[in-house]
Amino acid sequence: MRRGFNLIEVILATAITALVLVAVMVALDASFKAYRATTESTSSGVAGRIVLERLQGLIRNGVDFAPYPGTLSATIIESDSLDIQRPDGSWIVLAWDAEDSALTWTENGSTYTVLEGVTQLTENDPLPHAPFVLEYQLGRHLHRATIDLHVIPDDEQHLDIEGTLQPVLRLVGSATPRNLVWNR
Amino acid sequence: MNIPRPNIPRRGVSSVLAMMFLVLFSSLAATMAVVAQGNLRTAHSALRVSRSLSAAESGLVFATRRLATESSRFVVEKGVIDDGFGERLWFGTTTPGDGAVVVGDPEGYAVPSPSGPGLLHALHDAHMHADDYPLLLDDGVIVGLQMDTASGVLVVPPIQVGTIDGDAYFLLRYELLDDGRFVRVTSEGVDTGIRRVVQMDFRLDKRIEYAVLGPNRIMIGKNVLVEGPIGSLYGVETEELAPENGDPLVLRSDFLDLDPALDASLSVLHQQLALYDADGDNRLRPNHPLEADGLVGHSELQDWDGNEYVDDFDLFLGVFDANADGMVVYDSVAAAAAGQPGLSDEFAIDLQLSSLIDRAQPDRDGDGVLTPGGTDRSLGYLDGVLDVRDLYGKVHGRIAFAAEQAAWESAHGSGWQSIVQGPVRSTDAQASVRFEVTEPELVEVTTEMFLNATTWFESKSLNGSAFGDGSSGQVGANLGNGDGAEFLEASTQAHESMPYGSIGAYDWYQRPVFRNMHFVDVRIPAGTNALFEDCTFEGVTWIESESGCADPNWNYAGSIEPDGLGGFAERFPGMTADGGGSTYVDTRVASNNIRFHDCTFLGSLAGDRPVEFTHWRNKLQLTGMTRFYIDPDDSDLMEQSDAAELQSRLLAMDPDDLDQLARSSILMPGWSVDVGNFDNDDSTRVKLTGTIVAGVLDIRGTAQVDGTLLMTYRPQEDVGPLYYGGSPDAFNTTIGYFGPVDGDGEGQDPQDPDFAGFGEIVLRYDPNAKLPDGIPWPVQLNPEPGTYWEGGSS
Repeated sequence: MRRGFNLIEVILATAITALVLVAVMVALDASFKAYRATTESTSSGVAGRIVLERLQGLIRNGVDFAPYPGTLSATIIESDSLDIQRPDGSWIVLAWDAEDSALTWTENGSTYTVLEGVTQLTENDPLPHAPFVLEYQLGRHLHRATIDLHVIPDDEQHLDIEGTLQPVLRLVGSATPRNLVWNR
Repeated sequence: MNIPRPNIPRRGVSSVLAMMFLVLFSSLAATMAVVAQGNLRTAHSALRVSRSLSAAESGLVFATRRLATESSRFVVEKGVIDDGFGERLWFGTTTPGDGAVVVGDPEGYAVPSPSGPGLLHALHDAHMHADDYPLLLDDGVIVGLQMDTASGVLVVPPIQVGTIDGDAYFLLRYELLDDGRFVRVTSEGVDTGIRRVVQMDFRLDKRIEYAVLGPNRIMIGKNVLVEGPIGSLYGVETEELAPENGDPLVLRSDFLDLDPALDASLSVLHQQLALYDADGDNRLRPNHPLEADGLVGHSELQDWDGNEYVDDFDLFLGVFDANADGMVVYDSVAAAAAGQPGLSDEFAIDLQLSSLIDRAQPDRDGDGVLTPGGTDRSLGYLDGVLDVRDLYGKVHGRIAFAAEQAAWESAHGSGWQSIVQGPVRSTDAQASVRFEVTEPELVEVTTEMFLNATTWFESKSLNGSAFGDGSSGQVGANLGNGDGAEFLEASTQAHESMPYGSIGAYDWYQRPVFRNMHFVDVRIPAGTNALFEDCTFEGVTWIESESGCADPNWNYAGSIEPDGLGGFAERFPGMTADGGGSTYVDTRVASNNIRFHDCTFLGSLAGDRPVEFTHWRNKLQLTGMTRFYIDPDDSDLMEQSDAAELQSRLLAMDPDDLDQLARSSILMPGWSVDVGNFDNDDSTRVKLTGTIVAGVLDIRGTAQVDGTLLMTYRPQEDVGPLYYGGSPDAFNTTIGYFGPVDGDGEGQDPQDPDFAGFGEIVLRYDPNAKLPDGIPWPVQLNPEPGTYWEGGSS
């Protein structure tokens, strides 16, 4: 007696196997995407936290700031850049580079990238958000600076199979210059 | 029944696949768990960084408080704390040349055995005895309280922020810097191994942080703005708060007497403030749960300027802002020049008031530079309009009362805000008004405290030539130089009422007249009792008088009054007074009551220190176009017709002398001083700088004081000028306009056709003003915000 599968059985088995494999691949794909999203989000989150902490420190220690509102009667300005004068008199310019989606640091004529993937875009709003909100008291006294960064996570190491899921990571922090606090 | 199963071999891949998937999923899960754990660790680290930084900042606040408390125990006479003196204060090695240094007892704790006499030791002892906190290890290491008396460093053991084991803590380190005026505090915050350091320098300073401070009643009238704190010491002695003795402080609204409707709404506001003002700043907040109730049912009480407060200025806008654009235009030309063309004038009733408000707080952008055509004007300075940008406040600073609020209001019969009118704008960190304030924040100022304060001024005056007479000394030289100087004997002059021009004169003087003379470092002898007209005084002008005037008759002996027959008769016949080892029938010969009219002072007025306040005998009256200048670049000086000569004289003076003279335009403790150009002419603004000291001081007309007004006389019944009766309320420090409606007999009625205006006075506290030596006052260790620094681990 010849034992084996007939054609129908083979087709059925193949179809079932294909279905199972597809299901597995979909599950795997989702897992890899989630893995990638998590790792990139974590990676960018760590980097972003460090950057944010550093920027807040700069603001806390800063003695003068720019830009100012167009009219002195206005007190709040949204800006793509923030100039900070350190106690030693030197100036740092933090700026959002829309073209390269990066936050840059300029000092003594040299510009460095501090954080990549800074698109300032959200899913619901086609227009980019300003990364710096500066609240002034009358005149040139910065009362509070809020940094609001919208970052596409990116850890530079990923597999093609991980897909393209890129949830925007939002990093927000505020700081008040201590110079002002202690002057009260 | 047993049915045999066919022996069919299982040939599939399911187990292999299952294992493969198991490995895949488990490794994926493990990776995600690791990633998640890493994320948590990162978040935890960020939290610890934040906690440690907060702990470090808490340490800085703690140190600030400790430095303030301990430094205030050190009362010094030296006016300026320089590098060397600061170092000696820190180490406790002051010398007699530094003047007296008195260290008070610690407050709230006892030190059985002080470690030394310096500030360093005081801090050490405070950390050792004032606090009760558990012993902590810093990363397992015991850190003790360490004081290095050689380098001047103090290291403090860990102090925990919370009360639970494992809470963050901070470590403090104090060190004197090479520049002995500065102490550096380093605070290291620690949270489970994460460390953050903040650091700031503190400056040793001596400041009297008041625009006005006095133990007698302080009355601040209309058209007077105070840019600085006010300290009232009145109201703590027996019966001082009795209704007949007056109130510790009177502030009169600047917007009274402009419009009857405005007067009425101001009255309503002041009533509501007394009932509803929760924080004592004389403003009601429409969005405040309690204060808003004070606005209900009073449609005239609106926040017209949109600053979220309703105050006197809003009511002014409500009446005079004709087009309801939130501003009152008083100079449309200036407004156009400032970038607001096409406006129409809305207010012309009291241009001195509008100018006063528009000029207030000139450095609007806080950059330390006045830029009338730049950002300061963009922020409303002198722009021809009155609006929210002028940040109107009757007082820009806190008000500290020694008196008890309930006792005062009980005696007065109504809330204190019915007497103290006008918004009081303090900083965010300070309450606008506080009662029962004591030392060291509110120090009693007495004439005795100025024992050594006038030493430099007296020494300087002794360097000058003698005052002289018609043929000698400075008077003789003036008469001989052919520049139009003139001397008129007293006997040729009519009797002059004292106070000058008063209808209720309490004495009369027949004064010699010195006219159109120039004096340099001059001592005016006791008994001169002169009228100086159109004279210039350069350097120190020292007024001599018998200091030993404690005899209650000293104020009165020799006084005269009209006899009704065209002559004068003794007011107290037979009265004599003893002083300085002599007996006087007329004490005028041993004291000095002088009037300076249209005189210019390029320096300071100082004098002997009477032990008792005798306002009939020891009095200075500065009338007419009185001018004080000490800064060669003073913008007001530049506007004078003789600016070139005045500037040239100032520039020729020794810079060290200018530095000393700038410390006080008037240093007359125990004297009665009246300053005022009663013509209210803006072009003759009286400018006083530094610490202005008098027993009782009146300023009227147009004036600007950059510094501190210090009063020394506390009127007491049955003592001194009140020995024979009278009440303390007659002796008050009066600044600015009060009219007949306020009970001021000397004030003009605004309805009078000859009314010369309300005047315009600014009292501006100068935190950078140097104090004259000799005033015993606590030192301070103030933070220098610009030195704040933060970093990682130390």
